Amino acid sequence: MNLAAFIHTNGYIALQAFPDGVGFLDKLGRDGELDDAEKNEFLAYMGSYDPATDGPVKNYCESWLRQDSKKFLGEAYPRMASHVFMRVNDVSRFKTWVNSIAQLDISPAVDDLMSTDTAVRSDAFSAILDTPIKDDIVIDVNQTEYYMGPDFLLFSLPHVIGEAKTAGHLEWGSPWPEDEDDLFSPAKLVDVDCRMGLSANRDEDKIVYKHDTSSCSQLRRPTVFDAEFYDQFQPGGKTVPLAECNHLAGFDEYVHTPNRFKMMIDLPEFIIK
Amino acid sequence: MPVTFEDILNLKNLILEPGYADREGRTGLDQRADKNRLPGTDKEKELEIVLGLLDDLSAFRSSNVSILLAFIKRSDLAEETVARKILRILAEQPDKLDVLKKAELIRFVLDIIPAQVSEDFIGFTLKQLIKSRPWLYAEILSRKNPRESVKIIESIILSGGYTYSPFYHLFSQWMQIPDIQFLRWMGDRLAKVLDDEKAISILKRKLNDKGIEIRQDEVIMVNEKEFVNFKTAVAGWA
Repeated sequence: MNLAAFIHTNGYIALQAFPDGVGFLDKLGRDGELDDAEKNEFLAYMGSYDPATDGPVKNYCESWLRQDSKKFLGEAYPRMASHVFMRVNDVSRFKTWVNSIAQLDISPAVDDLMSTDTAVRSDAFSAILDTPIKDDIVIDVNQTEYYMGPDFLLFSLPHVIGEAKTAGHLEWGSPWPEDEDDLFSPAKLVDVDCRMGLSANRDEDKIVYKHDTSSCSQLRRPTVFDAEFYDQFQPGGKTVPLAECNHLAGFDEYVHTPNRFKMMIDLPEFIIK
Repeated sequence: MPVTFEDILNLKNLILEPGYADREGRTGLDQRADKNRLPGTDKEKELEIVLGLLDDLSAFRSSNVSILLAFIKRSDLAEETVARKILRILAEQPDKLDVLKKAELIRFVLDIIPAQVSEDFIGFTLKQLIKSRPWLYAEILSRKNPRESVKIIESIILSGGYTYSPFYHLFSQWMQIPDIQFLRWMGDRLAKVLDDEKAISILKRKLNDKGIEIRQDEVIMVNEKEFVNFKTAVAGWA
């Protein structure tokens, strides 16, 4: 899509004036997951931007992008393909999220998950999944929905971490690359976060796990509307490896609604920094 | 710039609704914490905002309190100042917060300034938990007095309230204490009362890793009556 026609609008000029905005517009033009009507909708919104009344342009953009209806606009993941996915997260953030739900402090158990002894890891993993959830989450409908999802309310399930969401919002991840069956070997594992193009908190330990996404909805290719101003995202369906490992391939990339802890497959692995 | 009511409200809203996560799973709250760690940020102001927010946790659940406390740690704010303020709130207004929120707060205080918190204070502040959530009470007390915590777990096991997962969390917390004497004592006590092969096997394996051996003949199952008799006998010997 040629964006030149929009150059005379206030919003277009304002967006170009801040560094992330230029990259955003470039990616918007190239994003093959979006059609011109969807792009035009955003550009029309930008056209009515008034710096005097609408505040910083970034916030103005985000208020449009963060409508649920603007998320997950890319191509749907093939129904018949394997739904085994891979996800990477900071260990510290993983602990924070689980501890916000868990009745007891699970940090020592997560440390055990990093052991080299498979028996120790296996015991710790089952203990985490069976940890009771905080009482005031379980009794509050709104909190339950946030931590366990609306469908949880339809069933009478045990109130344990295994049933809870692995994140509060949409998740990004990659289909497990079937042609790389040794991806979790130490030599290959060490580059997984780099190949995914994860640039923030490079020096933090990472947890990497396989999970079954067959119960996640909206499993779709991300668009620039999902990525917002995240500069490591590039349209085209693949992660962009960081410079330090750019001789290696990226992974296919999708976004979806949060999964549950019990959908994790096998024991998680760790990239220790 | 002085802290305004709006500054406090903004952080409160961010805790209640941390915002969309980016591609790395970082919410708006995570990004704010990471930004706080960068040199040149106004940490004094952020600390004032946090202290102001502690005066009004009424809209929070215990899960939100947990997220706020993780945010404080992640932001590298002056944790001791925060812990002292929390301790003051707990001491001066014990009825202001429900017990689950108090549990989150006192756990944080114990991690930062354990010497400032007495066992009596923990017992008084969390007394509703002793019966309703003994595992949680024992987990928090363990940060101050692990031996007392072991005794609580022992009595939970003997009264038939044992389940694997909470036991595991308590046990792995104790295993991080660098005191061989305590570990040996703890292993000895628990091996006598545990009736779960999986838990006994973990107990033995982990203590063995630390060079502590539990002899097989010590790992015997005892029923409650025998244990009470044993305790009475020990008390008599003393």
